[in-house]
Amino acid sequence: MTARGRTLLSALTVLLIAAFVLGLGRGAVPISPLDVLAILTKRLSGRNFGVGFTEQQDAVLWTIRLPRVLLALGVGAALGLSGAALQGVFRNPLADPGLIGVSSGAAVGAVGSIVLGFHALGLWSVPTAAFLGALTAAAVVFRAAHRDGRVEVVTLVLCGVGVNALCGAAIGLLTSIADDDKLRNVSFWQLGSVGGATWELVRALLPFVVLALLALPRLADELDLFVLGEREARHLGVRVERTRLFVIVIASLAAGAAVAVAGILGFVGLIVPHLIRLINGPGHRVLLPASALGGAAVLTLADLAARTVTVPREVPLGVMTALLGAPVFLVLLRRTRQTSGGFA
Amino acid sequence: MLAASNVTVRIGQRDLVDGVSVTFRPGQLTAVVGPNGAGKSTLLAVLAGDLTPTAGTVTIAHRAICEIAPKRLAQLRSVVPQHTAPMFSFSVRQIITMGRHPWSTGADDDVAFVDAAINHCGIAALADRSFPTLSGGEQALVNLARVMAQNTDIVLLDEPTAALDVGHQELVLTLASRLARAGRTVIVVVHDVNLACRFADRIVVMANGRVERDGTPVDVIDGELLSRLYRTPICVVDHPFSPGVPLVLPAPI
Repeated sequence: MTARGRTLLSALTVLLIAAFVLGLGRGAVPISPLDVLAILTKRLSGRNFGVGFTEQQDAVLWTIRLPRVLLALGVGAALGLSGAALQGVFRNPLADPGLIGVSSGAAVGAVGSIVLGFHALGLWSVPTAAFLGALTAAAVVFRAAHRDGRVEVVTLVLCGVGVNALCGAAIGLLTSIADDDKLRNVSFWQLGSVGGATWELVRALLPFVVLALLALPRLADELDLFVLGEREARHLGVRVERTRLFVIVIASLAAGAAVAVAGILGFVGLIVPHLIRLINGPGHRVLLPASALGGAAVLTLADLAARTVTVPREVPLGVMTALLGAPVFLVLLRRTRQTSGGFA
Repeated sequence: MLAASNVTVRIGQRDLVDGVSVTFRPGQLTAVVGPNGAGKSTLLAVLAGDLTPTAGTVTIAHRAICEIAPKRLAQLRSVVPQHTAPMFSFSVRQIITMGRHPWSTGADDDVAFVDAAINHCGIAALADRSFPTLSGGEQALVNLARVMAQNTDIVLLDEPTAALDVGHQELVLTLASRLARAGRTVIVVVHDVNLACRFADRIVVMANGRVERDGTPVDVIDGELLSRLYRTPICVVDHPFSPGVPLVLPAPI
């Protein structure tokens, strides 16, 4: 790893910690960063350093804000990491889970399992159904756009349009036949939010994020070789089919779990890896962990903005990420067009 | 030693490669030539282990290629692709370092091999450039350097000169023939019969999935054969400045 890569990872870690403390402190009941640390220490170690926080602050932080911030952090890490990994394996900077339909596939799975009453797996029923939806969508777009070891860019994006439209219709249909208490409304799934965060949701998300964080960075070198082309990767000793399947499954697990707890949040998986590549180049050894850290920080800050900018109302988090992400996406298209003559 | 015996590749009703047996030896540069659709690239894909033949076997040092683990295979043979267009902007040095992936001999060793490959191909000035910004000729040299860093005894080149100007064509084949002089087994698929005649120790002429001729350039290249295979009048004369090298000229007889 280069010195620049290490610096970037350290900077992103600092940014994430800052976002975490800031996210915990800001809101209707303000808590100073020092009090945030004091409450966390008290809760985790039982020791009270005697800093003057109130019981209300303590309760707000532990039962409302901490799960919410942790959920935003985990969802952001999952989306950033799975975006970066999918882009590597698809050899394509546009392979964002939201754009190519993986997220909406996951949403159909999640909504379907809630409305149709699938809870055989307890806490993990909804994430598992979301994962199956995500995997199905990923398989459909991949099969349609993959030919001779390459993924056709235009076909990939158009497939994403088709899958998104179909899934949008399915979500609409499922939510219209659901009774109100069973399901949060359509806009939750299509705009995304971490407003309903609970410790239970955090626990449901955690194993999938941890799995992706442990598994995907191990494949960094192989993903670098994928960028050369699948044939070239095979010539360099990569078990191409196995690696590809593994990456798609793990990335779909992470993205699916993220959607199951927070709905569809576009552009995080697209812009975060893109910005990291601009700063440090496309090498996956830095790109994968940096995208996880960056995604976590960006989504934590975006959620902070979503709930504090228009107090007492809340802007849906998905609106926030689209507001920030869509312009970057358009700039990305423009740049690619200038440097490589467009995607056609 | 790389050998194909009775290799057939059937796709649908067509035999793209039809019962080909051919053995390649170290220290030789073999050119595979033939008209479009003759099965050259399919044969190369089979030799590289990309494609499992419908019938027949490919062996490296008498071991069937399909039984060799991918990583081990990558230590034995490397492939220079026709063209590579990575979507992401890796630097030239990063791309060449990827050639070290099959080996785990340590970072110092990797740097030494990468530096040697860069110097060998004369692309030191490009080392820090971003790959997508290079010209086609420069990219071909980088691909060749990546394969040199891979340091395998068998090197396959799949139409490496297809989109190159004359200068880069000469450069790529000169570098390839140096690999053969250094004792490696080098196999090049080329369209340009003249390039094959000038650089190859041996030419395999393919047509309709079969080996039509196999031998030294002087022995296998003649006007009658080429005119028949390429369906256009072609005459072959002795090269005016390199006696003993056939010179192929498309011309009315």
